[in-house]
Amino acid sequence: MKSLVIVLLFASVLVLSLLLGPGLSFGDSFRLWLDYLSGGQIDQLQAALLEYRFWRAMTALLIGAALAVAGMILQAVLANPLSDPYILGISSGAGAGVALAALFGLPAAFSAIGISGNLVAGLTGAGIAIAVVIAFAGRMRASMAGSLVIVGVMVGSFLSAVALLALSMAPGREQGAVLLWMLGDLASPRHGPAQTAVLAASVLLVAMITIWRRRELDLLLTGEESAFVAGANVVRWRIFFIMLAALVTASAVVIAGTIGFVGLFVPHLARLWLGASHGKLTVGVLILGALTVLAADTLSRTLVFALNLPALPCGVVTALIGAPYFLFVLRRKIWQS
Amino acid sequence: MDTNNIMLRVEKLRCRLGDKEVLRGVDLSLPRGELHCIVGPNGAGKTTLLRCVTGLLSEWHGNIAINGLDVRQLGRRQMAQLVALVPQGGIEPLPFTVEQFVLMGRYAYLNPLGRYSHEDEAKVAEALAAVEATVLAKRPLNELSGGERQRAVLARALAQGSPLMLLDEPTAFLDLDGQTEVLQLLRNLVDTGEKAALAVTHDLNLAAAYADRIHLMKDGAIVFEGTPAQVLAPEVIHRVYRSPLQVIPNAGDDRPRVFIVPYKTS
Amino acid sequence: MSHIKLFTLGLAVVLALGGCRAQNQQASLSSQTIALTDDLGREVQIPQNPSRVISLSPEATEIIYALDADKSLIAVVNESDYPLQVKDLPKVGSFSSPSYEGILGLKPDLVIATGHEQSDFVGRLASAGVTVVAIFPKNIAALLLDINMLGTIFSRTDEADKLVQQINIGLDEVRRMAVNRPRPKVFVEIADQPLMTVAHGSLVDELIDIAGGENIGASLPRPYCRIEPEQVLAANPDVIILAHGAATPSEVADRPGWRNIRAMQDGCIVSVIDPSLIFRAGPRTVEGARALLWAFHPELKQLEGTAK
Repeated sequence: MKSLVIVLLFASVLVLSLLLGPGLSFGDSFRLWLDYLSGGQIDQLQAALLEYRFWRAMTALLIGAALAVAGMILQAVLANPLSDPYILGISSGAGAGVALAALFGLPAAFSAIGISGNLVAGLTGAGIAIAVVIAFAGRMRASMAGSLVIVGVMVGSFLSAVALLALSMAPGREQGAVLLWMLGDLASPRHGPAQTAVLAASVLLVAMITIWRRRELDLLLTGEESAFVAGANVVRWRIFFIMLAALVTASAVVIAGTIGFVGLFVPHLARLWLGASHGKLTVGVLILGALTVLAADTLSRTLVFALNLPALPCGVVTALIGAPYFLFVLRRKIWQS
Repeated sequence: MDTNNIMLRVEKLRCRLGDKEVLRGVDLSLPRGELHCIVGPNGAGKTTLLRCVTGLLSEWHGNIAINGLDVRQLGRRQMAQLVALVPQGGIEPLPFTVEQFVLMGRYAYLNPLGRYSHEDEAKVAEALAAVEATVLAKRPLNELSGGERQRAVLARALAQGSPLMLLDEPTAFLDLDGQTEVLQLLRNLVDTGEKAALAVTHDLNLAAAYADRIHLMKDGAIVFEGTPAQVLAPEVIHRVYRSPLQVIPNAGDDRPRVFIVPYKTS
Repeated sequence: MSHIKLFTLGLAVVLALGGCRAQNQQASLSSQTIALTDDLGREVQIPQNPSRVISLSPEATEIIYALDADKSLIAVVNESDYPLQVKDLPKVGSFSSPSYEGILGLKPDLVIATGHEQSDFVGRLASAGVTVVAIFPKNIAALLLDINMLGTIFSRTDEADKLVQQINIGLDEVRRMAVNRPRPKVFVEIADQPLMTVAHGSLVDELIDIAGGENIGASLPRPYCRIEPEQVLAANPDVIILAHGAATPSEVADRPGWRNIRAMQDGCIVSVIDPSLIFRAGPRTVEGARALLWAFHPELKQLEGTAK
């Protein structure tokens, strides 16, 4: 029953995201899609617009899946229900990278050799952050996941401060762009098959490995000491899963900035419905996460256009809608049990 | 001497935590087929001893051998196949079902594809039956009482199938019936002759009623070790405890009892 | 008799016009200070002929040099880069965060700041007893008034009038050259992630209009605003101007679907305009308008070349 609801919801949000947008009216979009899909002749530019919507929707789905699965992994590995994909400083690292690059005009240098400056800067920053955290993780004994969280939060706070400092010193025109990027936004003109393929590869890889090693995640969620005595090499698995989560998070962050809240609450929601066993849970988390970001992006685009707002970053929508809804579900569940 | 008859041998175990020497040269020998209890006041180092044996603490000096094998040479999976731990404090209310949780005890036998076998599931069913928690199998842990969760933890340790069982205050959450059931369970386990169990407990009488030998610990060392009759003697007990205690020999078996002298108003 | 009446009338008209031009400034000479209302609405007493001036506004700096008043300039901010001589001056921090202590340490008798982005800083300096004037040349009209205000401050009113006239003539010429030509749809990209452009209320938008273009982002809610890539595709601009370093024409061509935009197909994508020509209101704004005109109508640039 629940799965039917989810499937219907998924389909409707997907269709809406393909039909809604500032470039074409609802009716025009509908007719155009019919023409396009039935092989009819339509203007090249209009086809480009439809395709843009399609690839953007695919990207939104993948980003939601990526962030949700990263959050799920980290919640298990750190045995901490408040973990989200950014708890180990990845997003702050990416943000610091992008802000510093904007400050020093690096994107121009990279563009000259055909690579997106934000991509390189973001990945570098995220890479540095995660390297520091993993170095700590390797030195910790089996029973120190709590300290890992503290290290992650410290690294994250430090890099956030660096990012904000760089932001404050950047030229005024660029500040707006960097800030919107940090809030998480899908309004990039780059959505297309190439970007989607890379993101899909990353998400698929991490999802498959996660399902393959679901038993370790189950065990880690029960606590590192419990996992240790049951025979798991906690330190090794912890590093392994952190790197998995970092990979998929970084892929999402360099494309769309730091969309918040999805990685935190989607795993909890999925757990409430599917239980904590990580086999089924991973699939549920991927689907729910995808649905959430697609819905948020569609809503964001529609509201911006309808209300003539300067911006409504996707990350803001996820937080504004996700938080109250999640609390609502949580309260009901608590009353039940 | 057949060393494999000794399931757990601890020699000259020293362990320093911070600037405190928590274990100051502990010697302990646990043969197969026996149930031993460790008793002693808080801070004696009982839990630390168990943590060293299982490897949760890795900075210690001395020798620890399980089934004749030096623990320092053993990998995590081997260790898990040899020794299971029922930790102090039970388990948090997690969203797993009892069945899912107990299955995790079979992790050491997980095949490379990451799947559990029918044998694993059979062992889980056996373990649940042994602790009389079969009816709880599909219930989520976060809907159970503390005592019920304790059974799940015990079942998980049993499911591990390891010959050495270590238990840290396994009766803490249980009522009287629960307590005797656990100890009876341990007795059944070791009486087959294949396994051995070492339980830390505060309850002297429970230890005296079920254990083959009792180790009395104080300030990081074992001050006395012997049968219940030997340990529950007034001069021995009072080396470790200050409370007004009285030992009552029990007619009919060689297991004395100790009780607290009642408070007098006059 | 009628000649005298005509003359008086003419004089009255000229005086009235002169008064209109100065309507934003009440310039009165009293002892050694001039009283002005700056673009933040503050009443300021400015010393006559200030000799230790710090300019926190690259726009003001260019105007000061154009008015030949640069001898009194003792320091500028990092972003000041025109004319070349200004690079030799000491710097007091950046435009977004000027150095409070650096400024006070130089003991200026006048600081010129930008009304919008630096308004908080203006307050801080004023409370420290520094004489601060804020200019805010957000459009051409405001630019011309600010040029006059600076002319008054530096006693270069003749040069100021001449500069204002030059700018007006220059812009009129651009308008004239554009008026009989088709109006292209223009997209100015100022950031790519997310995509951002200029809208009504920004200087660039006004220059596009003067140069005879239709800014596709004109009606967006903020002068510098995020725009949906979809909107660019739907608007199908004839000209794309890249005003930031992170995108090159070939990178834009790689964006899925953008190849179909008319600007890309006609090769009308430009990234060579020096951003300060179109973003920085000042003496070179006419060059900026002209650069836009040539971007819209490349054939005019050839004409200009052959005319020289």
